[in-house]
Amino acid sequence: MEKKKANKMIELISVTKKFGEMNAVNHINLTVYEGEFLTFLGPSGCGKTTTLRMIAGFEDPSDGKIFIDGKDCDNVPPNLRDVNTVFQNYALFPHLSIRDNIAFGLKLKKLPKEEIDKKVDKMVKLIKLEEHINKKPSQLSGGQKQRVAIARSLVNEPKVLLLDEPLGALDLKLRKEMQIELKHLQRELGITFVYVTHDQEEALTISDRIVIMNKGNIEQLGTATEIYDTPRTKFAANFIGETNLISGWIMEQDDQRTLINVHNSIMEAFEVEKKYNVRDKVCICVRPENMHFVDYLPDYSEERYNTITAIYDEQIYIGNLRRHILHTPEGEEIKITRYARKDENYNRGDYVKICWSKKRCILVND
Amino acid sequence: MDSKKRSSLGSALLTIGPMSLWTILFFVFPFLYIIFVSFCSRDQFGNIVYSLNLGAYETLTHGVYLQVIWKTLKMAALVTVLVTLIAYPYAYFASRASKKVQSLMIIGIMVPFWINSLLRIYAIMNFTSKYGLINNLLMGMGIIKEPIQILYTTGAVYFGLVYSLVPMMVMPLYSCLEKIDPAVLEAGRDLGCSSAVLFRKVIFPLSIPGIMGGLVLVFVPAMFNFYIADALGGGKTIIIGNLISSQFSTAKNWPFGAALSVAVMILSTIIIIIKNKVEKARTY
Repeated sequence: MEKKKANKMIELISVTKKFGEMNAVNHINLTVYEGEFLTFLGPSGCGKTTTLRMIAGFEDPSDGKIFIDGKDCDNVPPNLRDVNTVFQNYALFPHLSIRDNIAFGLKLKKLPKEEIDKKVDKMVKLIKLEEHINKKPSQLSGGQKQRVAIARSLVNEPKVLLLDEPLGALDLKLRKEMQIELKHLQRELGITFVYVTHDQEEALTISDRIVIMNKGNIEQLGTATEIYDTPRTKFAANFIGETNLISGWIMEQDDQRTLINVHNSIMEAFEVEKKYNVRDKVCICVRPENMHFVDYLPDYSEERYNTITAIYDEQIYIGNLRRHILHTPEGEEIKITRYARKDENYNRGDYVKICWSKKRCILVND
Repeated sequence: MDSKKRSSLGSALLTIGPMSLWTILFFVFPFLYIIFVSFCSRDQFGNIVYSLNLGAYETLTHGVYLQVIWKTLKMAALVTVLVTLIAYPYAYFASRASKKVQSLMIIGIMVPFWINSLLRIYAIMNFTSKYGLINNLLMGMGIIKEPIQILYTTGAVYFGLVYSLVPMMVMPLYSCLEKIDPAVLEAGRDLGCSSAVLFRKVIFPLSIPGIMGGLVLVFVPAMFNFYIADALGGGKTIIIGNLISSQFSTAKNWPFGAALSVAVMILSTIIIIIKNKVEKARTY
């Protein structure tokens, strides 16, 4: 699947971070390849920022090893690591001008002045802040500050750029623009980016690969499409995009299909990759766009579709799409997304037959 | 409409009135009176003669008095330097310590500060006196045979001034250092600073407003103080503070005392103006 050069840039081996009794990060293994844009995605407290801080060197792992470009980083302080960090609240030096902020790392490396000036000028041009170069950080807007923070890190040409929710403080429109800008920057410079966010849309937009974290564990690692199409856990299914989860238990599995008992009706899934035992509790995971009304599905057949009855609640317009909300007699919420121009006409309380393809459903442990 | 206006004027008078009255009576009026007296002269019994002249200011320009002013300035400057050297590490460690140690360190500096300063000076007199705690201890340990002179020396005056003014520097410095965003320090580390470089290039520049605040709070009182020089210096150390106080009390030369006071006020105003200028140049 990985098309990039298989050059390992960062390697985490069984990395654990304990805060008191709690494992903030729990024995995670992960490889980040050179030049890729990898995103840690998860709710707050899932350990994503802690992991990033361990790579940066601000926190020491309680257990496990971190390698950056093949070098063991045990006891290597942040100033001696070939990575730079972009902080959530920018963390610009308030007493220095924008130029001096960006030149900070280069001056510490004792580069000749002309070289520093050349690199800083190039970077300032890249982030389009030429006319603000002599201002102090307090005179800039949030978006400009964040650009300076990114430039201040990138100008050092680190092997890896670590970004800790760098767009968290910006408003939605600016955030979207910056996402694209970041993605372009990364592609142009070819630097490995490790990004932390709790915003799934952001993760889907900018990442090559996404690491979904929950309670200190990696729930799933893969490209956006992989995670969306084949979530491996209930958490991953819920966290990326919207999903319908219908719970049941395994009745039977052979090498072609799996039978699931859902409230005493039998559902079939052509998924056999994951092995289950009889009576294992599972959830059938169906994306809203793969859930259909039987009435409006021309090629409906019982062999190819699982069918259940649900009670209609309401519909919501979302631009060119229309979302229908229903619930099963057992109280599970069902969402169906369809193009708005279709003229379904259901009323609240109607019993409606809905179905999904036996090919297009994923099983996850309940 | 009109009654509403009147009632709001009434409430304004009620709220800020007493305070204004207090300020005018006990601050503005004495201040103006001192300026006025400095332009008067006195008769042979020490009574003020209300005829405007510059006699008191002429006395001020006599070499002896200029020397006292110069000596006081030097002393205040040295005290400020010493206070800063002690207060900076203290404030720095307090700002970076755990919450518990932090509050202990701040209480440690504030509690003595709340005790009347005269009492503290008497305490210093007590244990620095000829047969006081220090001399007894040193003699008991056999380090010295005869009691040494500690009290009533210039050193004792310096010690007293530094001791009483350290909190005035610690507090603004501490609040300034404590406000530094930890992420900014992490950014410094991240961009390649060792601990020493981080201090020189980030922490110290960011603490300058605190130092400037402390400078005024230390330098000005160090210049004005009179009872420390009197009590610990035994009256041998003449600085502006006790010179002024003696003009108002024993020498009975109010116009000259007032002229000295005005001179010191002008000096301290200049210091505050310089401090504000420096601070403005460093706003961020």
